[in-house]
Amino acid sequence: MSGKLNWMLVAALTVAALVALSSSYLFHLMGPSPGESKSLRVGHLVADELHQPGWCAAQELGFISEEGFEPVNSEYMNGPAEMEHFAAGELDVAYVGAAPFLTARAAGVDIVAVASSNTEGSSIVAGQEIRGVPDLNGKRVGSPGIGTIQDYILTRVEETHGVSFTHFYAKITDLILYFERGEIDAYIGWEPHPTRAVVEGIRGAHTLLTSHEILPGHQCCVLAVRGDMVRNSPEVVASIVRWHVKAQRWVLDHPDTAEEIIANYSGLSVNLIRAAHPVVQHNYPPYLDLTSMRIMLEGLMASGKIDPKDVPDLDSFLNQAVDNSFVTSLLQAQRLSPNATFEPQVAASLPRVAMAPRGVVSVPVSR
Amino acid sequence: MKQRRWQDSILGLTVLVGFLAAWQLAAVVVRSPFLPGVTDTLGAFADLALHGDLDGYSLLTHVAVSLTRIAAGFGLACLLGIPLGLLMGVYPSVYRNSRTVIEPMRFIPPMAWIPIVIVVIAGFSRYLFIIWLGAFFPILISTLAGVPRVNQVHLDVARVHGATRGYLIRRVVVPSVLPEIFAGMRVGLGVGWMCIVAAEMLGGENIGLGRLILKYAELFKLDYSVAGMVLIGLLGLLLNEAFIQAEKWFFRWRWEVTV
Repeated sequence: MSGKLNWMLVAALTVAALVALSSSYLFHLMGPSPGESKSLRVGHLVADELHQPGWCAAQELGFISEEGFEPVNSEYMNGPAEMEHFAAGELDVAYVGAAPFLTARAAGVDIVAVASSNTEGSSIVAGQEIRGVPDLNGKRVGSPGIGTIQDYILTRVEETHGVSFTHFYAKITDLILYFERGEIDAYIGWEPHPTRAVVEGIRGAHTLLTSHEILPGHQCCVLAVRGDMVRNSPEVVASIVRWHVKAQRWVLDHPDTAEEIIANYSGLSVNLIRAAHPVVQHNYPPYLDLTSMRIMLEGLMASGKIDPKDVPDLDSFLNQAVDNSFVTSLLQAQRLSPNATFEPQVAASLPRVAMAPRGVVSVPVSR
Repeated sequence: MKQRRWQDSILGLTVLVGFLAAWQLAAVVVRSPFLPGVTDTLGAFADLALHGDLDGYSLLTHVAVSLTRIAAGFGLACLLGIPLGLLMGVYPSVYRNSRTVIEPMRFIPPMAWIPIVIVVIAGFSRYLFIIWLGAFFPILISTLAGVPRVNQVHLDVARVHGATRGYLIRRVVVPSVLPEIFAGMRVGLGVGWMCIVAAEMLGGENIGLGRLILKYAELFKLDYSVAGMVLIGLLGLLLNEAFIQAEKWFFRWRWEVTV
């Protein structure tokens, strides 16, 4: 009887395994085949449209659909979380901070940064009892995550000012709550979240330092794409960079309207966006700043966040991880000066650079 | 009996070795930095044990902090869940009249409470609440369900001898329900232990095994994260085993006590 039961158990397990295998194969077949996908999976951070206006401005103005993409947007609580999903193959394009991008790339994620989204743009705000950086010594300072660019900036503040404080990690939108309750003495975040505490007058909040003062001109968010797209479908990447560049230019040319779009997409007040906007730089042409990325990379390695064994040669690593050529090609082929402007109605008539034919751009799907 | 125990031990060891071999083989075949093998995980574990984490906290500190949080949350769940379960069991009308609140609350996962917990509760109480929430309902329900199972003969005999209601509860109901309470506590401890990652995720502080896992996951050092996961599993196993042994010792008169 017991033998019979055992055989029945084995048979049941075998059937279950076969069902699982066949259903996963069917699921695989049901997905879009490589080269046939119409959608472009774009990741960005929660309430970070001021740093990453490219995707929302381009979407609002129709720049993305002009390139034949149907964007599927996903939002993440911070850059490291977004990179985890990117590593899982859930994203084609990521608007993400330079530090999580570098960390992911060093860990082996096939990702390449192809344009800048913004430089600088983070601030440390503190309660009125903190009058200067030395007052942070021994205090608790909030950060949106250990793998974020903001946490790297905090570490840099500790090193450059000779202070030491406890890092307290929380979701960007919750930092203000912890600050209000007095659980943290100060916090860093991407704008406009630090400025929000100042605007709302919480605990007499004031901006202690902006990231401009900590690492002037530093690269912040980048536009990154799947590495296999750069290698196998550069025309697709060129299309992506094209709508991004158009959106970046448009944001610079129409700051007031851009602020309204950013406020609408991020769910924050337009007055707050306007108050924080001067801290964030949308560099144009959107070339990635290799100098600051190298400094960041060294800092991440020194603090143990990136294993030096994963980056034996810094220059070679950065050359492979960062590709400014798409921005260069776009500007050259369009014979655009760095000051050229884009309007939605004329954008479609601009010459195209080694891009896929009009209509739906095919995005190879990796599995 | 002794031979059977040996056979079980050898079989258990074989399954464990087979699992570890399959894990290592999968890691070697897949060759992904995101699937650390057994050796990577052991290396990470050794590094954590010898040098501590990135912020300088030792592994023992992480363990001690997590255990303290668990003990507090679980202890509170016992303090509230057992008396309340007995009360509802002895006076079923209390349960009947409150079940419209208790039953839906029971099905809200601890994670779903996080947004409101961040706003309403501060500091250590946040960990306490999430772990309490995980442990409380299994304890309450087991206690509550145990009361009606008290042997009617025992109650009748006590009544015949003039036992008061208070005496019946103290000397008949509570001792009879103790095994169910213990079983509920064991389940509650397991669920509470599982809530530690969620609790430490919202706490923001840098210490604790749950936070250790998240910290290294953010940095793509998944071998360290897996080391933390394994440690949580092992500690949970040890706590569960300790509970089973205590249960066996306390209720050695009760043949039903099983693993």
